[in-house]
Amino acid sequence: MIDLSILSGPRNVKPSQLPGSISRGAVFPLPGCKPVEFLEKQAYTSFDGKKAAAPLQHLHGTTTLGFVYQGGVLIAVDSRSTRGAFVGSQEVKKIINISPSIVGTMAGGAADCQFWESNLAVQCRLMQLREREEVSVAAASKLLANTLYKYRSMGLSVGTMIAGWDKLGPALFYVDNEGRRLKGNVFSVGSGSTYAYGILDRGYRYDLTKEEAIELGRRAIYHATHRDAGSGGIVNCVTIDEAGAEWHDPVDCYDLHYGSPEAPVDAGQSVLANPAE
Amino acid sequence: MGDIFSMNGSAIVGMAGKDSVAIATDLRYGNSYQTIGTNMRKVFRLSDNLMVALGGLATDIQTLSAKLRFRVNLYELEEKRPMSPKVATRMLSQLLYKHRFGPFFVSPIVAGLSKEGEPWVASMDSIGAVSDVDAYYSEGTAAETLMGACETYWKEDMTPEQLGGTVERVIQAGMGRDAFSGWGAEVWLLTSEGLEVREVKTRQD
Repeated sequence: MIDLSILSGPRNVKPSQLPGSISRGAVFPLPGCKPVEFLEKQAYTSFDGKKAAAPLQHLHGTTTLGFVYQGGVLIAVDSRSTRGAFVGSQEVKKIINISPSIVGTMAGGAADCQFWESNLAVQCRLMQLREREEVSVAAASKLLANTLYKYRSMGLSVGTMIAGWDKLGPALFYVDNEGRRLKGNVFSVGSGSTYAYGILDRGYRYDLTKEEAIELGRRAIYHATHRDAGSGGIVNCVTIDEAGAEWHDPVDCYDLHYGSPEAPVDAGQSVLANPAE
Repeated sequence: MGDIFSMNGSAIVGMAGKDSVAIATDLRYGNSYQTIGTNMRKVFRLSDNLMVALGGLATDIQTLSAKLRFRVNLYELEEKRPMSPKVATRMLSQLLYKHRFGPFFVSPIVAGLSKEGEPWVASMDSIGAVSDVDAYYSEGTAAETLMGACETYWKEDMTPEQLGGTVERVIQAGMGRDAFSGWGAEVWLLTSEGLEVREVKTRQD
């Protein structure tokens, strides 16, 4: 049972009274072995004696992007989850709420991203209660980077962007499982990121309006889903500005490709083509 | 992924109906996760009543289709009669087994109508082990999901019209769960009237 009495008077609490395992990031009792070696032992051994990676990871193909523009910060992501060639889902939520004005994106291992970003949300909430102030994007991203650094080279797979609005204005950080943390104006993460960067670099300007920013974000994700087999489904988009996070309508890549929203593909809708040679 | 059979990606399905056969294939040409082309044809008409679809490695699909066309043409010139689907299946099987120790990385489906108008669908592995199937078969990176779609959509004695619609639904459903195939598809419907080729509007992601 967690002692929640601290919530009534955060200023009067001594650090030793805080539930440490939550406030400082979850801490796991480690197994009596090295995690990477352990996982390698769990790997498949195929008939020719070669070892294949353990099928633990889901969601390796992805395209996510974020950029800062004049009025705030924008995040756009695809929604496909793959395991090798198999499409596990076409409707994954890859934008995770961290605080009312901060979101995080998912790329890499689905479980690793989900768990550690939820954990980050907890850390941010406790920090906000303790400090009686909204957590800054810089602080939130650093909390995650510090947590991931503790688990460095233990096989986690996380490639995320922490984006939001704080008292200093819009901010965007890239954080990954290697412990890297980079501040920047334009980032894209995932197997489709190279394609997305192509569109972003062509269309990005700092003085984009909100409407132009949404259009650019969606376009970059759509082009990435077209070229990258690991990305697809629908495009989710969120902008964060002074007024907080605003979620925009999800758009199906099918509609983005064919121009206008249409009924789902039906057997009757085929087009007659040239007769074969 | 690392597998040579799934490097380029493909989805092919062959199905028999009443007095008709159909083949549906995707149009993607890729290199692992990168989609390079969206108009790669994987089905070939070798004679009036004979078509062969090849899944697997793109280079071998092209080489083997050329070899097959050459052999069928030579046979028909020498014999002065069209090659039956049964003979074509056996011939392709022998051609593949000739390369037993350095195979073409393809998964073929042969479909056609015999002289009597009997539908024929056969599939084989890359070194020529034939399994003549009486209703439907799928190959390529989407083979498993296509087979599942076949099992739910297939009905006995479908008219050509029903058959065309069914393979179209099958290829749509099957490709949807495979990252390495899709980006357009075509349906080839063979009846006593002739061959009809239909382009299928699909997702482009």
